[in-house]
Amino acid sequence: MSYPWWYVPSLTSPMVIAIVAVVHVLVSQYAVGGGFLLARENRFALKTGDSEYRKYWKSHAKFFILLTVVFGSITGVGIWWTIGLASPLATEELIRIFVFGWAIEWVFFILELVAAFGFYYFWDRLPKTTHSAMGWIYAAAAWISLVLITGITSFMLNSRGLFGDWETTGGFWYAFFNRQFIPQTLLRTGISLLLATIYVYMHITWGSARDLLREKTIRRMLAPSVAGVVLMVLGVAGWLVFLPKSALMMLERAAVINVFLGVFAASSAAILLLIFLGPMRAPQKVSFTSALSLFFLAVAAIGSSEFIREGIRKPYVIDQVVYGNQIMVGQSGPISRSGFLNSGVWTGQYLKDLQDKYPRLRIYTPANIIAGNRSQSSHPAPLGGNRMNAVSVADPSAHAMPSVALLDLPEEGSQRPGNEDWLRIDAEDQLALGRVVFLHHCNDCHAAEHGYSAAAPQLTGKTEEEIVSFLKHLNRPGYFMPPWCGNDTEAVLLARYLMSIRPEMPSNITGKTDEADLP
Amino acid sequence: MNPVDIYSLNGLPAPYWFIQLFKVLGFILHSIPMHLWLAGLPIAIILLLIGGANGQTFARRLLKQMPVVMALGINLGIVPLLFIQAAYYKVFYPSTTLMAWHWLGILALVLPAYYLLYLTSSLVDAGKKWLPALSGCGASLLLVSAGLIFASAWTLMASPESWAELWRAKSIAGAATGLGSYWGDPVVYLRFVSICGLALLTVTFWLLFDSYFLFVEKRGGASRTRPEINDFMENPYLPKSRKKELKRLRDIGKLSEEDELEALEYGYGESDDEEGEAYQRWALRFASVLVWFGVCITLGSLWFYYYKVLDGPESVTAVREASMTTAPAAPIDPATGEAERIVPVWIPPITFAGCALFALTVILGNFGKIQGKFLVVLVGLCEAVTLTFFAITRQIIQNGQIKNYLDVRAIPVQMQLSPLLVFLLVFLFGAALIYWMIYAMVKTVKR
Repeated sequence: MSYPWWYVPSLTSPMVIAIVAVVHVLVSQYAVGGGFLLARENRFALKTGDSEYRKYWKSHAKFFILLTVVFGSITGVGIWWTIGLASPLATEELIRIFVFGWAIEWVFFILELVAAFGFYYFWDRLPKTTHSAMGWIYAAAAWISLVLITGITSFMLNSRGLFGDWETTGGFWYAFFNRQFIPQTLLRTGISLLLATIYVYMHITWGSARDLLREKTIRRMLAPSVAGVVLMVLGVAGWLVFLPKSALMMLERAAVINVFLGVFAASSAAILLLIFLGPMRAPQKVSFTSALSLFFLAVAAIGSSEFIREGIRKPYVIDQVVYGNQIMVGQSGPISRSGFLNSGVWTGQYLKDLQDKYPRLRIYTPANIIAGNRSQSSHPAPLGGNRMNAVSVADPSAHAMPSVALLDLPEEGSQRPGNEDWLRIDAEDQLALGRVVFLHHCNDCHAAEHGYSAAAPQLTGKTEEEIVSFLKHLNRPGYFMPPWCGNDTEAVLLARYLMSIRPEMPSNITGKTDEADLP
Repeated sequence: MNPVDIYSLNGLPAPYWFIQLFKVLGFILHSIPMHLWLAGLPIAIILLLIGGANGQTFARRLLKQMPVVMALGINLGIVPLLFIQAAYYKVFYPSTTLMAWHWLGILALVLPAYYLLYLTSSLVDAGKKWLPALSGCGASLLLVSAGLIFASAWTLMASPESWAELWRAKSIAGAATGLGSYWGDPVVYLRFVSICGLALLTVTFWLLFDSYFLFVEKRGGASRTRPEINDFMENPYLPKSRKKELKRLRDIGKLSEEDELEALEYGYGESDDEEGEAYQRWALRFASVLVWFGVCITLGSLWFYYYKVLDGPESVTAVREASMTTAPAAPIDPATGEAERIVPVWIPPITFAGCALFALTVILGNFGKIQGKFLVVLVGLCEAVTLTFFAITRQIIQNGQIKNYLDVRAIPVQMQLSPLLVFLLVFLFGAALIYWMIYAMVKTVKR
């Protein structure tokens, strides 16, 4: 609730992450697998003295650098910036826990860069052993950067550690070596190898390489392809075994996740089949079109796996740490008691601006809510105080804060701020407040009227009371939504807003259905 | 409204000084390549189009180096961004969210610019000059635009008093549309211009470093033979200033035959070794021109920045105060009751002295008082000192500007000792490995 919410109409901001992530992964995984292939094939060419084969790999290295160094590094920064915009609280938490993981990864990025440029620009000029060593330095650095980022992203799916839980220990290594770490490392390594071989198929068939060279290259790619597949199978198996229970339930209950899982399975199977029929059985017949088909299937497989990765974590964005709607786990209760709108810096400011129109409205800012929580709840620290390992700034005045409290605190023992007055303001303003609640509480996963998983169409046929009841028990059905973090009044405001934008009952239904069937 | 939520702060993962050190160090490392594409790229394009032989040599060399420079610059920029998020997250995320699409727009500008630089570097030896010049111009425009957005983002980050207004203007139901921009604050432009001035100093250093350390003299090559030319104005090796002088003499009928013959033969008949020396002489002359521009622009913008915008009596902060909702421009010193200076008094003289030393070194080099690689090492030291002072100053100003809202020094430390030590070890190991790889490449070039 510290940060302004980034509103992306129809698409929702997390979907921007998904799009950037898919694009980035398609290149960054190639940067890892391709590095290994370049080092391996360069060594093979040097060992066998095949200058033509080595020449081909030099041309591939140019393509590799143009794609990975430029596109990969910028989309990598892009995904980082996008998660910071769409999920600032989760990013803040990840940076706090893993800042040195990222810093170590950065060292390997620089190593990758220097090695890649040295490897390509000094291809025929460096002594052969030095050149080969640079190739392997690149391959190792790229794979280690994959391992490092996997330790961070896999924590988001399962925060339980292999050697102890981060939740209780708070240590970096407990978070890094989480239960999803090994399976996801295997899976990503496998995907990297398989994807890199597909890029090689495309590159060699696009150019005017001699038939023999083409066939030899394609045959040489078989072993890495098969190794990639084996690692992927092991990775997926481990991924399933170490899924948290909430994620397993998502797999069973969420239709969209099942669809994506089906796409992933089908496209992976199709890739295997095409590799069997093409590169394995008839490498001389592999054409650019068939290589491109493999690539599109890989896009489908990676795209669906990224969506599964994002979706299956629900209701969390970081397992048991941050909910999808940017609320810390353990904070829903205090926030709900204080009022959702009151609790946020920006939603609170929205209320304050509205107060100019309704001067008698009671508004409580985070500062006085915190003070209220201190005296009336069991939570010892300010809002966010029961964050794991969070630090409370006990005395804000010592923190050079000029003025925080905008209004006086509710008197001791007075009613908690329920904002009942809001139900007496203009209907238009009620709907506006309902929209504020929607955008800050629900927009992380749902568009409003139209677009990605739009909420309003899903509530057709329900009465206001039913919607309010549903909202107040948001985390019950399927357990894949965060708990309701507002008070009763805010539930009513949100319900009224949703009812105002939901579609009318279609005329073909109203026209042909018995009145008794209608709600 | 205090737009910075200080009630849910996370502890710092390392001591304050460690985070500041790596943030500043990262910024300095990132600055060098960033300066080269900001100022070096347009200079290279101009030299490519209208420069003499040596100017074109420098232009071609720099344009060919540019893709590698850019790749390094982007990757070196990760560290300051990481440590900003480790300590300044409470001001970083809100400000970037308010201008989300502009912020993401940087990537949309940098990506094509990067590919255009590859195109430029591959076209630079292709024959026609206008093709690489055109693609280089495109890249430069995109990169300057990205630089301006960066300047705007960092200014907004350090101006929480401006957030509410921006948020009200560009939000729907309290949620930021991310369409906000921050161009109304003069600090944005001063910040950008000061970076441009420093960028000229970095190009000055790079020009000398490249000509003395990286430019390979092709020993034993054939001497250049003079083609049949009758006008010294057609001699590409004759410096422009000399051409101008001789042309003036010729126009008034005072040009001697001896001078004319010398001008016709200038640069011809020299061996490639001499070509290297001529290039170095030119580099020194050109560096002494660039350094003046660099010093004047840097000092001018910083003077305005320090005195007029942040602390001066005719403060431009009036523009900013108008949009404030709470905090005063500067915290009040409880001892004196006066506003604390954001820029400590010792900073401007030191920064100015650094720039002056830089200029003096280059000029002494131009007069032959300091020579050869020793001169370049001295200029390099001046460059390091100037960039370091600027980066430290920038950090002090940033801390001073947000102190009203968030005092990063007051955040308790929750030390992550073992990962920090592993990072330092990996950092040293990586530096050693990078040194080995660069050494291998340089050795190859020399051989």
